[in-house]
Amino acid sequence: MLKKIAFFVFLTILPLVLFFVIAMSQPQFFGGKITYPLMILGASAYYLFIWLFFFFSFIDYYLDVWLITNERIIDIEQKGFFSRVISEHKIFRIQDVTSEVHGVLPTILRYGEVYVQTAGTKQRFNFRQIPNPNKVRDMIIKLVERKKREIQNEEKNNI
Amino acid sequence: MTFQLSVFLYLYFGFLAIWLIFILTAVYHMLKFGFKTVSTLLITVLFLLVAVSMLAVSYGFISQIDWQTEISLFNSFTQPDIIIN
Repeated sequence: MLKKIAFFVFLTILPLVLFFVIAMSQPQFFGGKITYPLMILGASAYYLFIWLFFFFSFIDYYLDVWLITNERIIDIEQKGFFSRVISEHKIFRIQDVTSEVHGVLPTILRYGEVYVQTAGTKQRFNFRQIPNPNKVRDMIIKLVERKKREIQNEEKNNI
Repeated sequence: MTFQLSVFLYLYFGFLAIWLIFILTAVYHMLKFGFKTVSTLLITVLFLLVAVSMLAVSYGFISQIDWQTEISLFNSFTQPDIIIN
């Protein structure tokens, strides 16, 4: 998301830089009866498009949700507009949990990825760019162990 | 060939109509699929406020332009040029 924000800041600043370059070299360009209106319309359309595109990217990020409960994990992924994938898996079927933190910024700001290996149809859940991935990993492992103990106790009681 | 500057304005309005459809789509997705929290509402309102502000600033500049200006293209075949009346 940080890379996307930097990209959009660059796109916002780019026309301003072009404006100053042209103003320094060809100041009469902005005084024309046709060039000035076209420049206004073009700049307006450009910035409106950039803002819309930024919001689309933000929605794609914001509507991706990962839910962890003591019974299951749920992965809700927004893949563009009008495309939403929801995966759900029982927590006791989780086989392996891995957390990864790569890079200077992720290390300092403590965010990274968590990969959850399951035995289901969708074998791997990926939690991307989440805060405190190590704590999340520990939490999932504890929940899995607790659930497995509960199931074992229930089986013993039933016997 | 002569035409008015307002042709470009109508093209801009066409772009705005398409842009508005996408805006409504984006707001619909946020309100339908986002968690029903204050942050979702605030983000949506903030987005709309900035969009309206950009439109207002654009209107401020566009309203000052004389869109009835005639533009002539290719007055002669030997020396094509753009003449502003």
